[in-house]
Amino acid sequence: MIQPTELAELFLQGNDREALVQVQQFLDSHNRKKLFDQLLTPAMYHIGELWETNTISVADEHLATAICDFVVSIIDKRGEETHSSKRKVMVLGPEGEEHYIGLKMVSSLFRENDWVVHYLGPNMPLDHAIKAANRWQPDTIALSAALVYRLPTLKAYIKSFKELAHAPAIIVGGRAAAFESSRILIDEGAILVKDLEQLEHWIKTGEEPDDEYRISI
Amino acid sequence: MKQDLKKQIAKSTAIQIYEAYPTLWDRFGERGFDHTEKDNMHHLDHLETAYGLNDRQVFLEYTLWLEKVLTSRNVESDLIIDNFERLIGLLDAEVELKEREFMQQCLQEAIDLLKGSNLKKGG
Repeated sequence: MIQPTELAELFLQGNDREALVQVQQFLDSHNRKKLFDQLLTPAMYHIGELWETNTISVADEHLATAICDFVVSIIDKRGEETHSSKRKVMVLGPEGEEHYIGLKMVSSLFRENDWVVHYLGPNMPLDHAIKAANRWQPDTIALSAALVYRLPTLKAYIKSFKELAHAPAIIVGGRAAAFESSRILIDEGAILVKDLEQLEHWIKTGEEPDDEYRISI
Repeated sequence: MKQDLKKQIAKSTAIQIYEAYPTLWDRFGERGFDHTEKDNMHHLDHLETAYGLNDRQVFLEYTLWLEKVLTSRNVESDLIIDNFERLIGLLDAEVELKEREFMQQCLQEAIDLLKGSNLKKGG
């Protein structure tokens, strides 16, 4: 079975065909959540680390991201009829946040669990997100941010979403959510998920993850 | 902190650094100066976030990440320390007392952290 660093190398080479072959082989014996958590996310974190240490350039990183994006899009489960009874989720990143692969993985996981997804992408202005939510009335709004200094922005988004009349659930993930300070988002009424495992558990059971930080204090 | 004030502090810091170390013009050129100014906006953004969250660790983690990114691009830790020391000075007159004290403490702890990691590297 291919390792994350080997897949990262294929991404960096721009080898879309082989990357897709390897990912589809992995999917023969694993589900999408495992693919995202165990293979694609670690591969992309590895690429981030290579950039941090100046081993690769921004151009290399963008190429690798594009190949990863291609793979995630190809394996996305689509095409089934939309029933009005299905649950709906709106997925977005706050203004200023450019990272989007995580949002696409989250969208894919919701689709696999038979939700209707509106993927609004990263860098989504709050006023437009509110208008979209009022129009479409999603059951859930999923937000993600990579950098910890987006936490104040996320807090402002959650506060506004909590005022929506139809009261959707608000889920927050991404690297910023793994940071201890992110517990302020729970205080605002959001559900924090630190990985796709926790997200899928919530999708399937409605049970929120334990607030580890609160317990440890 | 107002955006204009942040821009002003970031620019003053970059000017001071390039005046103190004129060889930086040869090493990094105009692009390097622009990067230093932008980097200082990032430092101030992270200081603001840490203050907003009342969590100095936010800035310390950022410092460790920054050191990794900059030293791999031939910007030595001593220059980051020098930069943070200048920020402590430039925050003095301009920023409201409570916020300023918090930020200066963050910067001092970050400097201590960088000096510690320098020692470990034998620098």
